[in-house]
Amino acid sequence: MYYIEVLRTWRVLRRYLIVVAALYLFAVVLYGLAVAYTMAGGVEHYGRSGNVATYSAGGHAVLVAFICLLFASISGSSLSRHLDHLDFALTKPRSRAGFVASVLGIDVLGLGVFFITTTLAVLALHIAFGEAHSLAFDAASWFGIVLAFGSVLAWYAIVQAVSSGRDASGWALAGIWVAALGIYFLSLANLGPGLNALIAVLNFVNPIAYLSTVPFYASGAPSLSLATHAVAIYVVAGLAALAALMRWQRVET
Amino acid sequence: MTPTIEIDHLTKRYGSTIAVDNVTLSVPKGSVCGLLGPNGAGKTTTFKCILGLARSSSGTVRFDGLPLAAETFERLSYVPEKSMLYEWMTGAEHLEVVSRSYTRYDSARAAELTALFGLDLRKKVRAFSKGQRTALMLVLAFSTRPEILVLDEPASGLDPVHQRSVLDLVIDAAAGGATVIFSSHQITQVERAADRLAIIKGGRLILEGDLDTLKSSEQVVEAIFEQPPVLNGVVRDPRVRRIEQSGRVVRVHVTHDGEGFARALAALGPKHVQILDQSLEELFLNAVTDTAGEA
Repeated sequence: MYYIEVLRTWRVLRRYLIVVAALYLFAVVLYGLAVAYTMAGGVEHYGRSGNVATYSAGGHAVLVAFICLLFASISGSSLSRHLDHLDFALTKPRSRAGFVASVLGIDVLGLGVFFITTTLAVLALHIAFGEAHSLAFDAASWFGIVLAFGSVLAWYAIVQAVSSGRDASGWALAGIWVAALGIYFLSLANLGPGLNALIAVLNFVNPIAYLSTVPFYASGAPSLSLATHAVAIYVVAGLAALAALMRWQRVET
Repeated sequence: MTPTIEIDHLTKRYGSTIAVDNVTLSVPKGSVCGLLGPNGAGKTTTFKCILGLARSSSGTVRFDGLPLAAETFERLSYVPEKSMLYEWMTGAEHLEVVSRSYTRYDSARAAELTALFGLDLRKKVRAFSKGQRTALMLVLAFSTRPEILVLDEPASGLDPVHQRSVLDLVIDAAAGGATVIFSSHQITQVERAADRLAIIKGGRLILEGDLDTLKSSEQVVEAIFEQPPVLNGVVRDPRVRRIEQSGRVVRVHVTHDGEGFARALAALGPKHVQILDQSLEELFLNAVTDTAGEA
């Protein structure tokens, strides 16, 4: 059954690659026109004078991850898309657990390709704009990238866990976005020690909280290292995937 | 010998509704069992329970003595009543899924069946008619040369020519040793393909057994009189199960000793008396109407 997932993932990726290529060309053409305009006017390009600030690649990973969350929202409902085809999908020589493993495996691979493609597109833009030297790849950047991808995986797995049952609806997916963004923004406000602690706990399972450069633990919550955060988000992803599997085991036609 | 399909006291409840009620049924290897029943009788639910698509509330299902497992599907094919195909995929892509899922997949057989039903596999399923979808499901099911076939209304939506082809496929599969259980609303299809019969009504199995034995378990004595007869004595005969009278024609269903009863009926002076074999349609209608009050 992995073949169905490969087909589905490839179709989404193919469309995305076309959009990315088109946007890239559009940006490069715009940039070329802007450079031509400034040179014709005798204006010195700002990027070529004075000191250039450097940016952590981890910061860009946050942007990449946000884009990937959209893809994760689509591929995260892949199990639920089989619900109307169970008579076909579940009467093949493969266990339900094997079925879920193949679906999740292909989807995660697709997410990886999506993440890498988007990252490369961002890097390509920097190169095209002559800003490649402003990107810094230090240890924190790599941690940021690992965290960002973990957040995408966790988001995907949570969507699977919520949507894979018969009783799930389209509102469930919208609810995830509202809840995740709501909890994140509440963590930026000071609501008192009790609520702050509660929101801090909720944010441990909130993938969006891991994408912020602002510490998601509210005042009073323990300050944790990046490595701990990285482990935490991957554990969240694993637990959510397990929940999706358990729901799928109970699905009936 | 262990039956290929062995259903033992299978019950499926949805809340307070009992969809399948304590069904016990065996299908021996190489036989074709036709499952008949009125709409909503529980045929499809029984199939879903057999295949693990619905969890049974109680009871067991065994294949060659073993409970259903993922490996069972390596030699089992299922054709559901309604198309469960992926609308966005082509026929060829569905076939690709099957070829990657089964070690027994036979591409030559698939090509032969595709030609038989005249399918264009390059088309997406959403462009297929109801009959073409059924045909594609049949191609997928038979292309793995299964040992066990579970077919829920397998000729649904097909034209008469292809309906006949489906029955030929079923008979051919059984002749090759496959065990088949199939449901149909068309009694003639069951009569042609099945050697065993199960009738289900209100979730309960009301009749089951070898088709020829069941048909011969009751005989119909038909008599044509000059005038509409008075049948007082006949009605009280212990051999009589049911009497149908339409003017001068009388049809009496007897449980045994059809010849003896025909002689007794001849004493009433009819123009003509004959003993008929009970048709499957009569068998079905008798079974269903006999339990009308119970369902």
